[in-house]
Amino acid sequence: MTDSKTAPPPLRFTGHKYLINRLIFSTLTGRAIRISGIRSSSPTHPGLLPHEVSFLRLLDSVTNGSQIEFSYTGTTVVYRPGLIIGSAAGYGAGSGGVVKHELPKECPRGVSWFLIPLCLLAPFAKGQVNVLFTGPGVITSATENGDVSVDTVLRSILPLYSNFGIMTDKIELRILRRSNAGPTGKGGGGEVQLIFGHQVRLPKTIHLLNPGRVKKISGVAYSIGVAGANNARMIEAARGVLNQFKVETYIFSAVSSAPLIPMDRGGEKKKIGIGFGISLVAESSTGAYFSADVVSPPSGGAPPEDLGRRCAFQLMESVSQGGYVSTVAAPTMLTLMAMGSEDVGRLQLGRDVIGSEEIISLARDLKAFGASGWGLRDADSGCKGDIVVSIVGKGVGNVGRKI
Amino acid sequence: MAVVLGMRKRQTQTTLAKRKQPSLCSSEDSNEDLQAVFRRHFEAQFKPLDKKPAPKPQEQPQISDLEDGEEEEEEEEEDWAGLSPSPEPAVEIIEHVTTTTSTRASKSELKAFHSSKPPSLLPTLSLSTSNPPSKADEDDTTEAQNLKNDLALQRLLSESHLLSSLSTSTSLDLSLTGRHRHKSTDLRLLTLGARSSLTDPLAQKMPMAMRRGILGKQAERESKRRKEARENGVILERAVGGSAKKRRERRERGVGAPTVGRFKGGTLSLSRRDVASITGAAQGGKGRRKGKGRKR
Repeated sequence: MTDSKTAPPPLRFTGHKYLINRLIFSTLTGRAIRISGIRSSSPTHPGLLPHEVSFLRLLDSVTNGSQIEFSYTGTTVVYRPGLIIGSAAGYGAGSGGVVKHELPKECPRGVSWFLIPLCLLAPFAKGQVNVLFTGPGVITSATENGDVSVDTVLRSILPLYSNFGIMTDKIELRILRRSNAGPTGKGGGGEVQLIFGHQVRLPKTIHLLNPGRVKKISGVAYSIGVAGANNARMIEAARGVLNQFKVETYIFSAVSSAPLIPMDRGGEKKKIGIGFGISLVAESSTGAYFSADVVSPPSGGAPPEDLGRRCAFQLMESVSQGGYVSTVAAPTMLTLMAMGSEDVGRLQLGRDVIGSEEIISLARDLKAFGASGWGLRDADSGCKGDIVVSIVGKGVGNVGRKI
Repeated sequence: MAVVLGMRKRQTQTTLAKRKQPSLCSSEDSNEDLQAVFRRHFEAQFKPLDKKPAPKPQEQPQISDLEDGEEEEEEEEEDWAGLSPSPEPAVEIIEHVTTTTSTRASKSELKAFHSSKPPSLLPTLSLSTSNPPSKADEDDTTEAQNLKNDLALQRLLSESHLLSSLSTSTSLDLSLTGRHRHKSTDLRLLTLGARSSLTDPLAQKMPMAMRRGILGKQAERESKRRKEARENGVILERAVGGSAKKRRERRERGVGAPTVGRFKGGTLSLSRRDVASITGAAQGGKGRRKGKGRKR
């Protein structure tokens, strides 16, 4: 079916930016894409970086029948998507039905960079998605280049799936081993397993217009390979800022030893991914989530009090931006709305959230894939300046579950 | 000019916040702008606050402001600079204040944290159900507790022979494992009225020859043990089973015959012992009944 003569030509894109978004849309809609000019002007690292190639491999193991072609120079990729299978035994998974995905040791992005798109694909899979991220490149903490920590994904992005009729009871995100980024900001020895057990035919249409008021703040402070007292200091600093709001705050503390990864030569192992960080999530009375993530720099030198205060301020800023979702979760929500039934769904976003480059390019890419345009209007309630986005779904949904 | 020493107000959080470098904030605005934004937002929704906003760092407190003796809150930016107009480098005051005691999260919160599932809105509805379970933790003497303890004691007593065989292990807990657990379950079932034991091999079906062999070997071992003990002068427990069997094998006396006395030639002759047994005379001690009450 993918090689039939009536297959439409691949959509053309350029540049390495928003590569993941385009790959996800291609997989969800079934249209082939061709991305050219990937870092073609870079003398040292033209083409895709190892972690991007790793993501393509992950797509390959979760789908059946997808074809990936690289050009000779590596700066052009043609991706013909297949069906999203999930972790069915025999296709790419072992006998237990777990897809074991190893991240390369030069990976500078956190594992949430892989997790968030995978969670987007998982409800549309044919079977359960059970992926274990392992290897010398798994960073479970936040990173300096803007990735959030796995705790934030678990506590502020995954609960939003329940709005679409995807039962969060069947979703599990286990952090088997924690790790910060390595000394150069690359690599880590963590281990994370995602079990996404609920597949739907079509996500429900949502109308989320009222952000509500923040009623609970929870968070996780983690220390890996360093003293657990850092957690207490970060928590106290964060509480010192957040106490003025008189909201119930629970910040949990996770201490673990430094993970080991095998060295290049021999069977020796070395410690990697030492550091600490804090992740805060604010939950509102209507089920909106706002998050903040701060991590210690790999070179060190940041006292934990500074990190705690910074994270609290970041959380306040995220809440002040308004809307029902923050910048981290907005792509997920908008994509799921666009893949829903042919009905108008509405979502309230802050002005700064929707006015960012990422969301605008997301809208443009969706339009290129054949989705309808978005309707924007000013919001009646909530923060001043909020915008309500109206999206008509494509109606394609889960092809694997079509009867 | 007399400065009232010791009446300097403590630096509060807002003034401390101004001391910190603005680069620590995530956004480009500095801390006081953020505070001012929030203050304005707050005041737009509610009444304006009574306190004055914190002054900018460039302002120096005038000496004339201190003349009335009482200092306004948050008015002082730094230490009193003294009479000299040139400002000395500001002394940074670091406060170590424990703002709150850390409250332990409830059990449900801890459980939600340790489970790897994303949180849902539902748990917040079950606030009322969290209270009753706390009562069960107390060690109060309710009837249910007594019954539970009684049951545990009875079980311990009846299974003590299994535990004694386990006494070689160094663990202190009383839980049985493996073969002993099966045996204890079997014992409980037998007391409840099971027909036959599941673990006891002699209760199972087996060829007659095998059973006879097992029992014969058991009897041989027992008699050997008693013989050796008697030879060596070791006192053993009193033998059981032999007299119980003998007692049952009383002689059958015929169908219509009387149970006491001899009937011959139409006459029932009662001996002294028979009369005593009829009248129920005072019984002797156990030792007197050596002959097991066999009729004379």
